[in-house]
Formats: sequence, C-alpha cells, structure tokens
Amino acid sequence: MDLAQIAGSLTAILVLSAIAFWLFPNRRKLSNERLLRNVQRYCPDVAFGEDDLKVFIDDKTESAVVVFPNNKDGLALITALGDRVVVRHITDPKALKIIPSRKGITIADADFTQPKIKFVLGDTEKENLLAILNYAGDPGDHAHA
Amino acid sequence: MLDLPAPTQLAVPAFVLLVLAEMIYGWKTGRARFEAKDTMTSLIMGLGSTISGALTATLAIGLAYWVWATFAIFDLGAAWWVFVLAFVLDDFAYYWIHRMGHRMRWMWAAHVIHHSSQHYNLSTALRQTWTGFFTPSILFKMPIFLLGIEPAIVFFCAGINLIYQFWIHTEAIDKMPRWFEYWFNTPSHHRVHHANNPRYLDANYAGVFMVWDRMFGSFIPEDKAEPCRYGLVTDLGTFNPLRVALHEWIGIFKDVTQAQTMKDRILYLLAPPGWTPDGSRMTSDMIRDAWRERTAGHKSPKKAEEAASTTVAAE
Repeated sequence: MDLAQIAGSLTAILVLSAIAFWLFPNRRKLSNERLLRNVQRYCPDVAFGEDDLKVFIDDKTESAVVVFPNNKDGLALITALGDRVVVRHITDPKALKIIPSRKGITIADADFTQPKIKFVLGDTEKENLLAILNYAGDPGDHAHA
Repeated sequence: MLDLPAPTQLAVPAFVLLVLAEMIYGWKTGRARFEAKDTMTSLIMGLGSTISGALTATLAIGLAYWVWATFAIFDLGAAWWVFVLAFVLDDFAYYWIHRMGHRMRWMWAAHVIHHSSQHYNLSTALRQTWTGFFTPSILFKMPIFLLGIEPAIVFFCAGINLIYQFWIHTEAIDKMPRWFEYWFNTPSHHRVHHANNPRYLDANYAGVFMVWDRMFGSFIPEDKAEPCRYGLVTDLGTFNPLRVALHEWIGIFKDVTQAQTMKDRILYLLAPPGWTPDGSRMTSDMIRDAWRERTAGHKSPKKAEEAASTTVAAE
C-alpha cells in the first residue's frame, strides 16, 4: 500500500462522510421518552417507575443523568452518540469524578470507552445537577427519601 | 511462490461506489441509514486495517510458507479444484476463527471493532480490526497448509471470502430466495449476527457457507417480530478510532494486571468476553439466561412480548 493509495482512501472517506452528513442529517433529540427506553434497555434488572426517577437532561450536549429510586441501583449516565444513545449504569456514583467549571460540569469515569460526559450549564442548572449527583452519592435509601 | 492478486485491494473502488449507492438508495427509500461520524469511523477503521495488515503480512505469510514447505503432507499443486477445495476449507477455518472471535476474549479484543457500530450498512463491513495479527487466528488455517495447499491460494480465497461478506452488511436487502438462504450467508443471517438483542447473541458465524452454523448448532434465523438492534451489549460512547481499536485490549490489560491468581489471568484471556472470577460482569450466556428469565417471568404472552421488545425498541 503506497502513499497515493492512502491519500485516495482518505479523500474517499471524507467525501463519503460528507455525503452521509448531507443525506442523513441528525435531527433526533434526546427526549425524556427516548432516554427512559434506553435506560430500561441498559439496566433491565433495575425496577423503577418514571415518577420515581430524578432526571437531568442537558439539551445542548444531549447528555443526561438519571438517578434510580433505590440507592443500591446508583445512576445512569446517558449521552447521544450521533443519532444513537449510549447509557452507562454506575452502581457506585462516588467513583465518578465530578469536575465543575465556568461553562458547566464534566463527569469523568474510569471507562476507556466513555471517559467523559460534558454538560454545558448556567449557574442554576449547575446547582441542580450537583444536587442530583450528591443525592445519588448519598448513602441514604432514596426509596424512602 | 504463486503470484496471485490481492482481491480485497482490487475491490476497494467497488466498495466505495457501493457504499455511495447504498447511501443514495437509503436516502430515497428509507431502507438504509447512515450517520456521518459513524460512517467516517467505520471507513477510518477499514483504512487502518489495510495498513496494519500490510505491515504484518510478511510475518504471517512467512509463517504460513514455512509450515507448508516444511510439514505439508501432500503437494496439491494449483489446479482449479485445489482453489475450490481451498475456498471451502478456508471458509470452514473462518467459521471457527469467527466463533472463537466471539467466545474467547483474546480474539474478541481484535474482532469487537467490527461490531462496534450501532448502524448496519455497507460501511460497517469495512469497520475492521487493526490488531488481528496479535491473535492466534492464523493457527486455525494451519491444517490447510499441512494438507498441502499453498498459502498464496489460501490467502487468495480468504480475500474472495471477505469480498463476499461485504454485500451482506445491509438492511436494504430483506431476504434472498429460500434455497440461497439455506446454503449461503445472506444479509438476513448476518443482521442476526450483528444484533445485540439477547436472543440473537453469538449466532451465525458463517463467512460464505451457512451450512457450518447449521452443522454446529449456532444458526438463528431472523425473526420479523424482533427486529435486530445493532452494536455491542455495552455500546461504545466514542467515535475516536484509537479508542475503538484498542478498548478491549486496554480492558484485558487492566484485568490481567489486577487479577489475583494465574488461573484468573489466563481466563481473562481465554474465557468468553464478560467473564470475571466473581461473576460481576455478564457473558453473553448470562445475558441470554437473564433475558429468558425476565421473559418467562411475565405471565401473559402479551407482557412477555413486551419484555422481549424492550431490547429492540430502544435506540
């Protein structure tokens, strides 16, 4: 394989990706309903009703946190990846690294396949998300909180 | 040494044109779907695979020729029927390489890349491993060299086999004629292979001839009542090609270095993906069993159907 072949391949990759971007624009949003369907798929053994959950969605980055009612079930981190949704079930929220910044909050996990989830937030939203995350890390029983 | 062309390299322009054709067809009909970043990742993985394959080819070819020249039982030559025999035997070897690629974490670390897209289209066919050389897959082809078939013929047939597998990565084709579906791998059979629905896990490993799955009990037909949902059991949260290429190797490294006993270290390599000494993660067998329990736990057939469909409705 020579450099001309590699250059030709890279050109083809860019052209095909641009055509895919143009023909298949991603208009899907991370709605509450879509979020819950995916949380249910990734966490099939966690019992919850929609009203029992604490849900925080950031529309700008299409990221979300869902805290389960039962303390031992932890929380779910959700993010849109292109037009698909990826969920991580975190049973020990204390293991997450929560990094507040001027622009929002970054949640980092020791997960090579999804190391960081960013939230772009104003001050009030930031406080709300931190409250939810603190609640998830609270050892009390959420079901009776 | 026979001088045969590399079929996959010759086919690259056709691959590009067919991906483009499927995009346009999908745009017009809605029967195929692409996502720009996913497509770009798949194509970059394909280019990287070609480069890594070229870098390691000399060693693989050298080993194959050494085994053939030193230990071959017969000298079968290069008649047309040797090519046919080589194609069938190589496809049989491919079946076992592929099966072990799903059932042994060491081999899964290389093969997982191909399953890491949540889309299923012709670009997914090109999402190939960068690290195949670091697995023992070549060992599965040794019996063919020992039989006396020259490695160049086997590698040529493997290239044809890969080209065959390109067209089956599509949702644009529903079913082929019944006789074809019986004997050959088709888009329908391979959609099941790429699905992460619990009932479809670890099935349909065939390259070309579906008969291997029927013989060895790994065949599952596509069920219209349960549409395939594509990707990994735990999907990747990134399009970064380096993370896509290396994530399972990193996972193995972490597990092996933190394991308490030598037995655990070995099993982290040789046991199925998801295996842990304490059962804290789930293998595909455990996922399937849990799904069966959940489905059986619903008393009415309607509720059982709903439970089954939770895995497919989500996206």
